[in-house]
Amino acid sequence: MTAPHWREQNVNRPVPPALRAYAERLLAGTDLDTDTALVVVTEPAPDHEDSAVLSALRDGWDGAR
Amino acid sequence: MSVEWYDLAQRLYAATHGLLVPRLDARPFGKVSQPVAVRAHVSKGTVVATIALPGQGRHRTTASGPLILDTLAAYGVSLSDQRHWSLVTDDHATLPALHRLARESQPDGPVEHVAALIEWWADRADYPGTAAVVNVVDECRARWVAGTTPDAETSAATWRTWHGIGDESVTGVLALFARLHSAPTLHGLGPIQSDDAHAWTKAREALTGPSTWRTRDPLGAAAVGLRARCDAVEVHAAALLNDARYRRRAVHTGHVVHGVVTWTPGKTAKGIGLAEVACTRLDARLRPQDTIAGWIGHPSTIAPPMRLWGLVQSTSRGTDGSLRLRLSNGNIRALKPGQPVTLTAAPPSEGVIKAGRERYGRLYSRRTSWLTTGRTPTPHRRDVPLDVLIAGAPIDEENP
Repeated sequence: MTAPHWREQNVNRPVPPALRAYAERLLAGTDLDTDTALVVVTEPAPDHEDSAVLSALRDGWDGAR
Repeated sequence: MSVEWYDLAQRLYAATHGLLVPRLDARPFGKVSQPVAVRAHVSKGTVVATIALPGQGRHRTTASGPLILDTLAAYGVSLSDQRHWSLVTDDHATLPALHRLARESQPDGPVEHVAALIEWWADRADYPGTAAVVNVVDECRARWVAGTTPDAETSAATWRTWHGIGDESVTGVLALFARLHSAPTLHGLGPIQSDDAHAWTKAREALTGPSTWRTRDPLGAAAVGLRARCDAVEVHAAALLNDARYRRRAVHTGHVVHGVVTWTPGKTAKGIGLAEVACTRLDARLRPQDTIAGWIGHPSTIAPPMRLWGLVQSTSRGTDGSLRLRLSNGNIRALKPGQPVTLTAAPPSEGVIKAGRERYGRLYSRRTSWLTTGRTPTPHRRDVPLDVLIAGAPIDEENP
């Protein structure tokens, strides 16, 4: 069991391998991978702006804040 | 549907920030006044359980077989109390194991009031939003997103870790429960809480007479019980839409529809309001003849300036590819072109639910009713006045 995450706010932690594998499965067939997705949710991404996946990812990310 | 990507972003946010992301701001089950935490399983044909009550772990016991019922009775956990006891657990094996014990116990024996309580738990567990049985893992999944996979979220260990709870025992279940219970109750769960209270009273009353809970429900009671469960599912689903965080996510499942009013004819000759709403998303769950509720504003609006209600008259696809919803009735006439609106299916009415259940119960209790006799009811028709026919005719806007 790892240390409780909730104590470590605002620390950019690496994505755990299991979650990364899950993310790659969900993003398969889109033009995004996990690392790109983590960048484009917060920054302008001219190559992806009109994609449904980016829109949903951004909404989820903003909703988490 | 884009909800999996929406959830994925929240999982990634939780993982990279080391924070639980709330799915709901409120607690999706009723207020619990007396929790008892139990973990039970069947080992070599014998039920083994660990029981804990809140209060610094002063009551924690492991027992097996019929002694479990004795232990619960010794703790005062029974149907004899005025306030109902809630079973708190973190797995799906506990309640069936306890239920088996209750059914195997001696009828009208010294722990009958405990066995009847377990039966009450088993019955109420079918009602979403009930405060009678709380599975902390299921409720944590409803309340938060963790920075992990959906599979990992089915484990109590995951939630203990994310909440920083080191106690893996049944006392840790109570600690997790306390985190869940600290939020306010989700608005709209009133009918389910009333049902809990009513069912508790009925179960206590039944204890004073001959034991009835061990026998099969009569047909009418079973039918009304099934209907009550369906009602609870609808009430719970509608209550979730009262939570702003849930609504935001529900845009991606099609349960919340957002669009802009593009056309209104004003008040029609028949006095019925009409409006057309253009929605960029095509995955709306609303269908023609669905009753709708909504407000002027965006899905995350917390205090909508105006409530809307009405009916979906038709759906079509606009030339620009948008989904066009034609709305009518209710107070739709108040809409103006250009206004952003958010729409959902109308929540079930508590009065309609109650009246429907009573009518259903009456039909099943009367031996001569069409439902108990199995006869198709004879339709009684009469002439419809011309004015009513005209008022009910479809509206053709191009040739009024």
